[in-house]
Amino acid sequence: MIRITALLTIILIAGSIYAGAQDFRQRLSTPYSSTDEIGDVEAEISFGEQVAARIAGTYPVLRDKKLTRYLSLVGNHIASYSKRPELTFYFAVLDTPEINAFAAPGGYIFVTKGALLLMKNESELAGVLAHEIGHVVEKHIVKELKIIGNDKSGVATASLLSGATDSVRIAFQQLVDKATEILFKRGYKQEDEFDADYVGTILAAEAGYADDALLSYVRRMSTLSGKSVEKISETHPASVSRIKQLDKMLSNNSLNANPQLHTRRFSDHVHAALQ
Amino acid sequence: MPTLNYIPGGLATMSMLRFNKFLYALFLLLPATVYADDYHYVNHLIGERAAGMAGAYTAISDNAAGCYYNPAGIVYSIGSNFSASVNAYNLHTKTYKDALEDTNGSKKDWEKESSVILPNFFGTVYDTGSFKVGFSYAVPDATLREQDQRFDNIQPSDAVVSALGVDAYIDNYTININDVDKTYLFGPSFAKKLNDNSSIGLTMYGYYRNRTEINNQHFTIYDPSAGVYDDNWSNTYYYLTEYGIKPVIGYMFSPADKLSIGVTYSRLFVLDSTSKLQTTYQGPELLSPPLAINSSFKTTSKDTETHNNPDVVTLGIGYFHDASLLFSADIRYYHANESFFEDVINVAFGTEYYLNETYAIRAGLYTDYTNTPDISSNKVNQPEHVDIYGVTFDITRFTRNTSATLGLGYSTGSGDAQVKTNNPAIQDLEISSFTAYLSAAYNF
Repeated sequence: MIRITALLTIILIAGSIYAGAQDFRQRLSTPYSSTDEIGDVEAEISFGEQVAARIAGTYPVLRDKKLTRYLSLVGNHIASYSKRPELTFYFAVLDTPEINAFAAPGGYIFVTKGALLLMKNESELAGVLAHEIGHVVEKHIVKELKIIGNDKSGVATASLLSGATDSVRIAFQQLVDKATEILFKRGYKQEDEFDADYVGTILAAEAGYADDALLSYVRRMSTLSGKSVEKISETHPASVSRIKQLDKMLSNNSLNANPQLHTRRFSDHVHAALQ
Repeated sequence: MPTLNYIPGGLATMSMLRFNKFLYALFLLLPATVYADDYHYVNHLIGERAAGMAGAYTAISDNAAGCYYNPAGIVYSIGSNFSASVNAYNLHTKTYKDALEDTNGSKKDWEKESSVILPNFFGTVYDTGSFKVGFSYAVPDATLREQDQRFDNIQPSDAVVSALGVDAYIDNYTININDVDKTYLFGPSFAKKLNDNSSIGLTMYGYYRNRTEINNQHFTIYDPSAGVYDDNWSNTYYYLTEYGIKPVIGYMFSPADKLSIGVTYSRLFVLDSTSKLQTTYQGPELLSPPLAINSSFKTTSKDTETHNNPDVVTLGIGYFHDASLLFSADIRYYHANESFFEDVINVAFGTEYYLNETYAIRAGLYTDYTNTPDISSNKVNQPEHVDIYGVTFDITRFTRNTSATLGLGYSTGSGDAQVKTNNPAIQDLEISSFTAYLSAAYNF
């Protein structure tokens, strides 16, 4: 027992020497979950709050409690099937006739009035929300801008968030500018959009909605022209490409044999509020 | 007067010394056959991932099963989660070679078999933000033995032969045994990160054990010289209930990238133990004078030290080669607190490999050495001595938030036993155990 006690003491001392995170525990079945999440998630949420504020500053937010609540119920139901249980998702409607939707890191999702009016049923709403949730789940902006909590290989966002000097504040604002540039001008990388379509379709199907609802919505959008679809055309891959990818995915997988459209419920909440 | 060696926790208690020694020798397979789960420490593997890796989990423990193996590890579980394991089926067999001999001189094996189906683990971990809280329920040991055996023309013991002559034999030897023995652990766990690299944890298990054994034996002695049959019968009822606590203290750290080391200490403290033993028997009337005893009695004892409750120290090491491949090893040291038992060191090795994001396979090897001393040929009623080796395998299918696992385990070993009451003869004993289990886990 004495030898064991001595060995345990050595182990305890050795345990306090090396300082390193335990991301190596991450397994293949949970590709984007980190065991050292708390700092990274906090940084993602804080950064996302700032980006969301920019979105809300660019377009006015529609103050309709009933509609917003409906959106939140549908959106959070879908988000519960995602692999980001540590995030709380928020949903809002932007009062603009433009057809578009936005996702800020940390779980802030926006859908425009124009997009809602183009939809036919709750499944199509679910498909669009799931696509945006997919951007958050797959951390497209987080990875591109290297938003992390600790100073590992990229920008130490945590230090930026708590920084007090002008240069620190400027650096942080530049990051937020880059994020809004992605959302409003440049768009995500094409593979990230296809990825969000894929993840969104699966999420919506798992939540009980029609697996071809997003495809149906994108098809309808592709027939439109003019100012309402100008922005989304600039920031997304051509609808033809998206339709082709979604078609291919659905022909290989039958995701939901018993989908729910909830057309009446959608109309009662959306059309009643917006028309 | 034969010596009754002390067998802790067994039916061979002081009360048996009151039996007439002749009658005692008649019932060949009575009281010395204590069910030997108390003589091994690795009876059932807990947790879907841990069981597939032969229980080599002290340095991993990053899910609900960590509450059982090393509570310090649950700080590394992803979010909140719960898992439940069902032992679909466990079959445990002991074969005592050449335990009985018939009147032609042919030897017969005596086999004891236990089969049980039970849920053996449920655990949940919840993330409060500053630390992790868990709750788990485990059944680390359970047996259900129902035997219905009959042997004919058995050679009686030397005592019977000397009393009745060489032509006497035992006819219709019937053995009926019902033995149920289950151990439960349940309680909360707490774990906290000390820094990015290390963590501590505590599980405080409540302990409950319940055992009931009914042992019924009947045989007929035939005296060919008198042409007379004589019936003999014994019935034994044994009941045990225990309560206690079992704390598990754990520490985990990472001395280098991809490497994890875990250490735990645990011990069972039995706070209350109640046992009852009731025996009734009908002796042989062929003797002169006849031994026609028909009596029964009951004893109740309250003893907190009826079993060996060792100090257990476990050291585990885990190497996370990449997101697909993981190796782990555990060394477990059991320091016996009863002078009769010996200290034991067991080892376990496990590996986990992800075929893709959807499927993972695991395999492991482990030892389960006995804590009893070697059997000596100049003593009687000694507990069996068998070292066991096991192998495990399982496969898991993952979806976004859930996983389902199907696993198999097999262990075997051979050693020595003294299955005959008050008889120094040593038999070869072979033990084998097969387990098939199903389990599920969910992240939320």
